[in-house]
Amino acid sequence: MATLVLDRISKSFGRIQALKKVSFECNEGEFVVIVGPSGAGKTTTLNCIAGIEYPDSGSIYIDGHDVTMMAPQDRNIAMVFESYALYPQFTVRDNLAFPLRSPRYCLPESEIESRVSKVAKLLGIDMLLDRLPRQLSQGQRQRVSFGRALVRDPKVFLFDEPISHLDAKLRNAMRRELKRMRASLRQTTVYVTHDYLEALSLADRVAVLFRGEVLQFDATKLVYNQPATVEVGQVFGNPPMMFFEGRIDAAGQFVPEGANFALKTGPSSCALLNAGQEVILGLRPTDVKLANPDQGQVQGEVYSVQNQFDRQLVTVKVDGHLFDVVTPSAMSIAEGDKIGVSIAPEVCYFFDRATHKAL
Amino acid sequence: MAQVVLQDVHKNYGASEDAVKGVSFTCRDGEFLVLLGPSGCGKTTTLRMIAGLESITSGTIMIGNRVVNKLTPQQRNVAMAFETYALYPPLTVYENIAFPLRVMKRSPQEIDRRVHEVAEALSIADILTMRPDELAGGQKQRVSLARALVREPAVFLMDEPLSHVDADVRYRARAEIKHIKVTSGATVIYVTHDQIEAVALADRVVVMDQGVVQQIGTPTELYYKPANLFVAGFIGEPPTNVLHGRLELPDGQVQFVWADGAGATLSFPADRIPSAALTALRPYYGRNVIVGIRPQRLVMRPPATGEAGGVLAGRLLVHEFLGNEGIAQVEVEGNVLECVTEPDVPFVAGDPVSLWVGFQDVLFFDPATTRRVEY
Repeated sequence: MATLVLDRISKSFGRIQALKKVSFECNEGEFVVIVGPSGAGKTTTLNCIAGIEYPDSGSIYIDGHDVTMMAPQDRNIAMVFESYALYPQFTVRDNLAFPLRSPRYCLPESEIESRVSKVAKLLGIDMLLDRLPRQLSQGQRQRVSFGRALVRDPKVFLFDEPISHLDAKLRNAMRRELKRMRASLRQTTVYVTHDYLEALSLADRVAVLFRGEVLQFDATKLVYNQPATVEVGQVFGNPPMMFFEGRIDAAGQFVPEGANFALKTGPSSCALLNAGQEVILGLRPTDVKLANPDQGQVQGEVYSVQNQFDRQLVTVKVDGHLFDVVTPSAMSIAEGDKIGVSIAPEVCYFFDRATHKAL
Repeated sequence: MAQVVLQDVHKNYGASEDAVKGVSFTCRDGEFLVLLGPSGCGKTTTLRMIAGLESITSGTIMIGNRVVNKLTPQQRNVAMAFETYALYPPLTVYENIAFPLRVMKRSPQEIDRRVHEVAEALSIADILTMRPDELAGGQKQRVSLARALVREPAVFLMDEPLSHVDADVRYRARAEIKHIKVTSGATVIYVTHDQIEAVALADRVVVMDQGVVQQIGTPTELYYKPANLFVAGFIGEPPTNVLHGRLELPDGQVQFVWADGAGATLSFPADRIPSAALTALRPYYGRNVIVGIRPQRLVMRPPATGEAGGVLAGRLLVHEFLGNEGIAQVEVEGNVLECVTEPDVPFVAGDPVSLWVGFQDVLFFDPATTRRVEY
């Protein structure tokens, strides 16, 4: 177990600046998730930590030692890729022992045996040691591949989208499996994904990466509940946060651009907002509610209704703007219905229109 | 627009087993029907047989009141939007969409009007002058969709048309498809492996597995009244918790004794259970039965103190914060049950908890047939 620090890492590929002064740290045993859209620089960051790439500037420290320019094999880092990159002809035992049999370590068989059984017990796969990978469930395979990284006793674990190639159903199941596994192991870990659910579920802290920049590095619940920028708000939630560009009028109300409706802002946000200020309003579909046609802050017509099992996603067209509202499925609603949308002042997120930063 | 009827349709590719084994369903005039199942279940083969792109080994397919078994795709008047876009690279988006209408020799005014209508509806009006190689995957898919919609055919067939659309805008693309469907009254048969997409769009869903129809129903029916264990596991996220055990009938109680759960018991007072349920469950008293409980229907509470009813005592393993909700994994006698919760819960890993369920949310399945006991 170790600490990991990234201090203002920059990296360019030709004219493209992939990383711009990326900084974050991972305490001993902490699980940090880097989340962001594709092309944000997530994998480049991971590669710099692993030593597969070298940054142009900035430093990386493991346990206080500068490893920035060190060769990958000298860093004692384990990288876990897709969940089942196992040798099909080897038993679980031999798959786990494989990294230890490398001439690098020169370990006696008894030592290998004892490390394998220790890791197998820790991961709850000790009764599977004589099976072949094809005789395992997906979740068991994932544990074995994780175990194979673990036997080397690395200082830092790196995960590069280990489950994103799976279909949604399996990915969710694997995420819950990882969550359980991680609860019993306290390893210093950096995990890269574009799936916000993995970030929220697994991380102690989340680094949101966007166009090579860390926009927010905070505890998991903070990045969801207090997004620092428009882009951070966009990453978390499905359907994602809705954004409306507009300004604050003389009465302290929010008026979206090109629309003739206004939204009251709460007393708490009033202090922060000035008349005439250009802002972006962010709303989560799970925070707004449907109301009777003559009630709510805005009124419109139901554009579409999507069933979501015990919920439904209702899209309401208000003066050319689409509002997404998640409601219980018990409500009977049909396309074309006149309806109101109620938006409580406390669910409004306001961002500066120019800088996209939270107000 | 027309209805589509499949009667006992089979497809054999030469293997000993049929790829599609006697599929029957009716897609009503103006209905949005989704064929849903895991890969290899026969859903795409079924769609291609309706389109006329695959021959039918046996059975009957009718579009309108016409048997179309022997008709060419053109004669069937169906429009198909594929996963792969198959756009004409040298033509602009406008010309790609207009193409089917030019083939049908419509007037230039009508073509122009229709292309703009459809482009507007799919939010691609601003890219009409671009060529396919200048477009993103999601845009290409919409253009392909627009080209299918512009013809106003008897039936639309769609094979995973949104699979290349980015996840974060897919909900919006679904809203558009749904909106177009409702306003146009089109008959649509739509194939997907994604249950979220299926229930979001469908009037009714045909769930298929291994070439066989497992259930035909509205999204609500599939969720609350799954026909069998396969549907219960496939539909819903996280999947249904499955418990194997026995049904007992001690004094005034209906009890489920969970065999794998070291005999943990769910008890319900018989006088509070609808008589239809008691009658339907009678054959299972004293015998094995499988119970399914949706994670959304399990309620996590502090440890019960002598509380009777549908309560299981367990220990919280982990809780996931997922933004607008949470998922708890609770260990009960060596098993893991999943339970959907509020985003934040007043428990930490390791805490003793109880899981509570109402009788109306317990699904019973026959262990021999895996069919749900209906009442």
